[in-house]
This record gives sequence, structure tokens and C-alpha cells, in this order.
Amino acid sequence: MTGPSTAPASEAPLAVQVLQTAAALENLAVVSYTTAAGMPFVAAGSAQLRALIARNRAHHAAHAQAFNQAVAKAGGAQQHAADARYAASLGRSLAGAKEPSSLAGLLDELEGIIAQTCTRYATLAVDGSVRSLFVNIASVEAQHGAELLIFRTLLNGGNAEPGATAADARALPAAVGTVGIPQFVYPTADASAINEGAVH
Amino acid sequence: MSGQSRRAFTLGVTGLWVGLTLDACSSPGPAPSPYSGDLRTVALAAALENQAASAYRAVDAALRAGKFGKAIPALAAFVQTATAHHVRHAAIWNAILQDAHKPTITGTPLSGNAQLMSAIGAASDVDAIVSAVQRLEIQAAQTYTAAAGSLKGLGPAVSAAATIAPVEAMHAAALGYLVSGRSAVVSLLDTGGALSTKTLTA
Repeated sequence: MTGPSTAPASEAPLAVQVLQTAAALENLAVVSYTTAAGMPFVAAGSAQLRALIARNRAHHAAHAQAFNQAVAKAGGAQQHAADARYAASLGRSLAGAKEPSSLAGLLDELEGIIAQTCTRYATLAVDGSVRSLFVNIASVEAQHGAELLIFRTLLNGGNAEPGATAADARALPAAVGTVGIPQFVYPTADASAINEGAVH
Repeated sequence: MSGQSRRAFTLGVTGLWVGLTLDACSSPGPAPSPYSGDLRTVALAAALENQAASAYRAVDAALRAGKFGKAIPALAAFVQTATAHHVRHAAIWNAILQDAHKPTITGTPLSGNAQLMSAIGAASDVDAIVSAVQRLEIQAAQTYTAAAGSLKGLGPAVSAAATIAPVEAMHAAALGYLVSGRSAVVSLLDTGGALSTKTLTA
């Protein structure tokens, strides 16, 4: 993975570039969740997975809109295209996913990239409201990731759904309790370069 | 009232006033807080982390004592890991205070702490005790999200807020999902729920 880079002087201001890149990643998430929702094993499978996919897709659409509003406020062009760095490879990986567990794994990876990018950008943004927006959205994507990790672990363990009742919750193995909270500080090593999704 | 008694009353009131004034001068008032500006936000964050660790220790003790019946292995494992995370978060916030030559926060100097611990102690079922710690997690994430916007400059406090808020948010999401299968995740965290530095009593 490429680490964050510094922008050449001729490019848009840093605030515009990071917001455009964040919007591009959110657009990619919307496309990916739309693809996921149309997969036969999703359409005919677990109601909980379908609900998770529909809800996360809606969140990402709202996040893309929030970043684009902030871009416009910062004087830049809105970014409505999906992040080009990941679009093709993720599209191929999604096409190869044939069951819910591998799909949940791919979506978790995508959530992690967006959350790490937003976390990293929060430490670069000079404007306080933009910093807060990045931390806010990083937190929500991290939550998506936590739920996908738990869901995947449950599926791999032969459980269809998490504890829908108190009795179900008591039957979950200890490992399920910690899989959704893998780190004590959120990492940034997989953050996208600041100009990765810049509008040219 | 006669002139004499009025004079005596007036003297009495004056005497009382002088006494109160002298008393106020002789006994020291509350010491001024060592934390101001951004460091007050950092101190609040350290106190919140200590509070979360204490709350989870109380949950752990209740689970170990069998207060809610049969063991709940996934919740017990979650509680231990989350406790360790909060202890480390407190250390991160306290390191910022230490670098600024300010006293670290070792306790839970928060105006709502007694009420919270009482609610945890009184919880009669798993849902109630989990709801109490889940609210703490969401409130911590909301507080750090708001802090990221209000802190001046791009120092270590912004980095701490940015890297810790998502973890608290994950704790909240995982708790809801594990115990009830219900997701607590919404499109954006409501920063209106962030705690004010006025709740810090240190």
C-alpha cells in the first residue's frame, strides 16, 4: 500500500484533495455494496446480511454527500467517481466472491481502507469542522468493520446470525467477543495517498 | 421595632456578615484547576477512559459473581479486552498531560461518575448493564469527535482523538451486535451527545 504523499504545489489545496479522495472512496463503497446486494447468495440468503449491506450502502452514500458538500465549501470540485486505485481490483474480487463469508471479508477490507484514510486525514486537516467530519466518518466505517468481522466469524463458526436472544448470546464462543475490536488505537498504515482521488 | 432593638439587630447582622466574610477569607476555596484550554479537554478524555475501565471492571465482577446467571463467554472476553483498551487510552491522554507538565488523571473526576457506577451496580440483567457501558462508549466517541474539531492546532491531542474515537465506536457497535444482534450504528455520530469539559471536576 502507498502511504500518504505530499501534493505538488500546482495541485489543489490539501483540504480539497483529501476531501475529494475521501468522496472517491465513499463512491467506491456505494458501488461495491450495490454489487454485493445484487449477488444471488445475498438476495436469497441471510436477511441480516441483506439488511447490513443495504444500511451500509446508505451510510456510504450519505458520507459521499457530506464530503462533497465540504469540498464545495472549500472551493473545490465535487468528486462523483469511484476511487480509481481500487475500483478494478475490488470489482474483480467481488465477482469472485461466491459465499457470504468471503464477501463480508472483502467489505471489511474496504471499510478498513476508508476508516484508516479518514483517521489519517483528520490529523492533516487544518479546519476544525473538516477534522471532526473525518473522525466522525472514520468511526462509523470502523463500526461497519466491527459488525462485518463479527458476522463473518459467526458464519465461519456455523452460526447464521449473532445473538438475537439472550440465550443465543450466552452460546457464543469467547473468540466472537473480541473479533470486532482487534486494536486499541485505529491504524493508518493503509490510508490512501492524499491526491489518490483528486479531481483533475 | 424600637431604636435600640433595631440597632442591635443591625449590629447582629453586620457581625454575622463580618464573620462570614472573615470565614471566607480564612478557609481556602477550591484550588484552581491545573487544566485549561486544550489540556482541559485532554484531562476530560483521561477521566473518561478511567471511568470506562472502572465501569468494565464492575461489569466483569458482576459476570464473575454469576449475578446474571450462566456464564456469557463472548461478553466476558469482550469486557476484558475493552478494559485493557481503555487503560491504554488513559495512558495516551495522560502522556499528553505529562508532556505539558500537568498532573495526570488517575481517578474519575467526573460529575456523573457516582450516578453511572450506581446504575451499573443496580443493573438486574445483562441488557441493563450492557446498555450502561454502551452509552459510555458512544459518549466517548462523540466527545472525541467533537474534540477533534475544537482542539487548537494539529498536535498529539488531535492524533489521540482521531485514533481512539473509532475504537470506542467499535466497542459500542460490537456490544450491541453481540448481546442482542441489534446494530447501534447510525450514519453519523451525534456530537450533540459529547461531554462538556464542565463535567470534569478536577
